[in-house]
Amino acid sequence: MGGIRRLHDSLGLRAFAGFALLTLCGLPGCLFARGQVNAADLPDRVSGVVPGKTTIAQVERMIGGPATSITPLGAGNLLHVYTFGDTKTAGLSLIVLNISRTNSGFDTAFFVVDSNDVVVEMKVGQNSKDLEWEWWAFGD
Amino acid sequence: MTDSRRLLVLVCALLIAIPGCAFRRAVSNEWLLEADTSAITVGESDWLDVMRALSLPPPDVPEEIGIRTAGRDLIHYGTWDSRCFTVGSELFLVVTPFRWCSRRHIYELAVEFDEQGVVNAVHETTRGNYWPPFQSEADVEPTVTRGLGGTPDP
Repeated sequence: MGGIRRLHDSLGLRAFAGFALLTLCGLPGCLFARGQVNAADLPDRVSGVVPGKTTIAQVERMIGGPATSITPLGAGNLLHVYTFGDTKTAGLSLIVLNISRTNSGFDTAFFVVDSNDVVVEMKVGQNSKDLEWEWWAFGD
Repeated sequence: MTDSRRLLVLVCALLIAIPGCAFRRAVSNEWLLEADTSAITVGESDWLDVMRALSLPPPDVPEEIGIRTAGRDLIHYGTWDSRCFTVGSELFLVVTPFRWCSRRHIYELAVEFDEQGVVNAVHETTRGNYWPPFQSEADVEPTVTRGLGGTPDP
């Protein structure tokens, strides 16, 4: 407080008010926010799945829970689908102007399971893996 | 009240009154813009081929996760773009009275299947988005839909 009082005394009331306003309005702030949906590290968790050998019960243990949706495919096969994703927000936050951009990527992983509960085919999306941090909201 | 306290009150009041503005953009599933659909062919590919190429359609927003399922007749993929301009800093105001937003799918890919589960049409649609109130619908490129994988353009 002593420093502020000395600055106030040396500048005068109006000059100090202008200086304080300009400083507060111009102070650049950065904003970063991150959100992950379900098991965002699902690709790593299921890296050990071997089609033809791994059972769906083992997949559920690796991921930590059952699929988001299960659809019958006929001939006793089932389609187990997991969804997951990542969201990254970056921004420039000033008092008078805020610019921010949020990039979201949502993925699915599916496992085709036969009548013996063995995974026979799988695909794990990688589209949410390397989302960019971008703060500039304009352009494409 | 001393001059310093008066000044402090004045600065605080001005800060609250200053109509800060914000440009906020949110884009989801941008990867779809560069997705490779060359493996999907009308009359040949089945829904499993589509899923191998593109996986299942991801939801647009987290709230939708868990309620969207892939139908046997149509699979729809979308890239969502939201652009909002607000006046009135959200740092100080609970409700920002001046808010202009444009939210739309800037890219959509729809794959249709016949009763045997074979692809019978693939359509992609691109549409522009804009920053209201500075731009309007007239400032963006027209919406274009075209056929892929052997599908004729509509």
